Amino acid sequence: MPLNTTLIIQATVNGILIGSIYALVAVGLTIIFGVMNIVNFAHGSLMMVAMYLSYWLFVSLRVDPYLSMMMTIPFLFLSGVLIQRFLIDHVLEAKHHIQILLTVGLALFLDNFALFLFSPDFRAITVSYQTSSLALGPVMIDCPKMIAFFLACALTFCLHTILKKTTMGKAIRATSSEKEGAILVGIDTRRIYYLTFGIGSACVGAAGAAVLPFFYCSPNVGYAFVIPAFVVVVLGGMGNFWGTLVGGLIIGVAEHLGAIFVPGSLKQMVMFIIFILVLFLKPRGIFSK
Amino acid sequence: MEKLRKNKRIGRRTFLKVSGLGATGFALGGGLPFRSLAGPKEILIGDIHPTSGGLAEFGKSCRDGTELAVEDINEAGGIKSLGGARLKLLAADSEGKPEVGMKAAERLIQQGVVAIIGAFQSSVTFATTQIGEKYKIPTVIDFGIAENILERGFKYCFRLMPSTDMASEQWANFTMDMAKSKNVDVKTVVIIHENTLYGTSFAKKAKGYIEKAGMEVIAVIPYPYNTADLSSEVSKIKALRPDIIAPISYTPDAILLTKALASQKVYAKGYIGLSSAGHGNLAYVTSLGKLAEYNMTQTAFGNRKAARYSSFEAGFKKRFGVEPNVAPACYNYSAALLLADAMERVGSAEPTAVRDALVKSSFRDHLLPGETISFDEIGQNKSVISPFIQVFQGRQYVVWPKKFAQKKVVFPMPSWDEILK
Repeated sequence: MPLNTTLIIQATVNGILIGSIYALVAVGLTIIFGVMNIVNFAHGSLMMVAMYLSYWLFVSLRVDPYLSMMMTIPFLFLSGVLIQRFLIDHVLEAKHHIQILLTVGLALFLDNFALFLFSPDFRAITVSYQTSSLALGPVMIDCPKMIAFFLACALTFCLHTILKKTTMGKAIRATSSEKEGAILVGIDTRRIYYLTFGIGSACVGAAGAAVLPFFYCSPNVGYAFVIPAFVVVVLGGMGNFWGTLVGGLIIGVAEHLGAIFVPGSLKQMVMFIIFILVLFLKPRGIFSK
Repeated sequence: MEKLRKNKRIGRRTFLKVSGLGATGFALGGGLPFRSLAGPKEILIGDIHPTSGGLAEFGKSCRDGTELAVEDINEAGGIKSLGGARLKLLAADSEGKPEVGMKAAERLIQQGVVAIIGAFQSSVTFATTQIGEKYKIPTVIDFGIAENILERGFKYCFRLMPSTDMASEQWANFTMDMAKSKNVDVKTVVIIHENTLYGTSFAKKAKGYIEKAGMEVIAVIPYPYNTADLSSEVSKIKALRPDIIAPISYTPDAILLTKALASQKVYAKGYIGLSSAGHGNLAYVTSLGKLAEYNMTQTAFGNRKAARYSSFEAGFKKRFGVEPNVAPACYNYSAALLLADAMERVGSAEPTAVRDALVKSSFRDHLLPGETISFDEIGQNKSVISPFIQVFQGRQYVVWPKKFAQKKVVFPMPSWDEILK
């Protein structure tokens, strides 16, 4: 088995490309956790919703998946706000296991509703630039994946700017670090929660549309991305924005390098070994103080 | 005042009354001998397939095949040697999991099925046939290619699809024959396979037959079937430059694999699925659009040249509104017809009698490529073939062996640039 450097570089590049998607999904998850202390198990199912939306837009109206983000992002944002308003809001003060049950229940509902509406058939699309790739020396960079990468980075950067610079962003960060203090200074934490869940869902709204060209759509598809995202969130530190971003890239690269060196499912094991090591050695994330 | 009979002998009338009552009671209560004399009006057949979960789309096609067959059999008069008894299908969802399949088998048997058709997956079939054997209910296996299914000395299992040995040997021989007929030299093969029982057992067997046929297997690459990305595995293949790439995949991974091969411009003289369920699936073809053109795979497939095929296809379109997914639908349709034939021949719906009739099967009126359906000592269908099919303009056609071919084979595979033109 020729383990030449081309192979390793190619794997690293592929890992970074897919890692940006893991990071985007994980950022949504970590924001929700950071602000509201809720682990959103329905995150993957919401991504699935975004994928189906993008799929149907492509199939019926020929809307390019990357353009369809202009619809999936607001749609998922709104859905997130509504979910927070009508579901999560009621259990914010409840015990963790109640919150978990609620989001798991939501996930099951969405998955099975999709199963009912769209049947279990796999749906995949092929865009005209599907197989165009950029060649950087011996390494080939897939066009759709590259577009997804840039969009994911851009969105993450936007999100970071919003959180850092805007008043709303500061309010979100305030609520996240010190809830009572935030209430005392007059921040409407209720509204912040709606926004946060909305933003978190909007992240998978973007990620779902972004991966459609190189992945397939089915009622259970969310789990393929959300499980690595959970690992990324732990790796980066729950609620730690930059940590999650870097964590996503690390997990993507680890998975792909793993695929070169170890056979079959063991490549996923690489990711989970990292997960366990982090939990043991630096449970607050590798970037924690 | 009447004198009561003191002697203890039972009089004739009393005897007749009592036995008459007893017999009626016994018959009503479900005594078997009385049942079979009358003949059952409705015969229950069980069907276990993964109609939910990742393989649901195959599961549904399988189910559609059995349903259509049962309806057609009933419409043609049912089982005539049993007084026109009608078949009734009791369907169960295995969810793609062996434990669920096993529970479903138990439940169906409790409900009184005389035979079971299923279960598409090797892992689930292995489990459900154990239950069938325990209760002496015959199973007609549509797909479920793993060796060990028929190697347990069971008497109640019958498999329609070719065994791993048969299919691997056919793949190796067909590839060599096809290459020879086109004067193309094929020396090296890379097998890339999903890593459940299906892909793993097949890869192991196939390697031996491929080498026996004169080619060299330079690498065997396993991957998890529900992976999100196969680009690294494909990079490995690219570095190896084999003559033939032989994937063994389910549908979603087959789609990912082909997209990755195309985008990394990995060229091989042949990209030929090794009895690959995913590559043979119609959904694979439709979701890839142009990318699927000229793709070849060996797969359990239906025989479009069979006498019954056109009426089957017409009936399927009418009943379900879509074209049949050929392999799962034809196999399960044929499975049900086979069962009906067995019951017809033996004039009974009693499971052991049906099983004995299946052993002696010599069934011609089916939709599979191959000769008559007949089984060897371990329950394997002896003459069935998994042909090579190729995609032309979004439709799958048998291209090899020539006897069952509908179109002329295109080999070696054109380059990706040509395919995408």
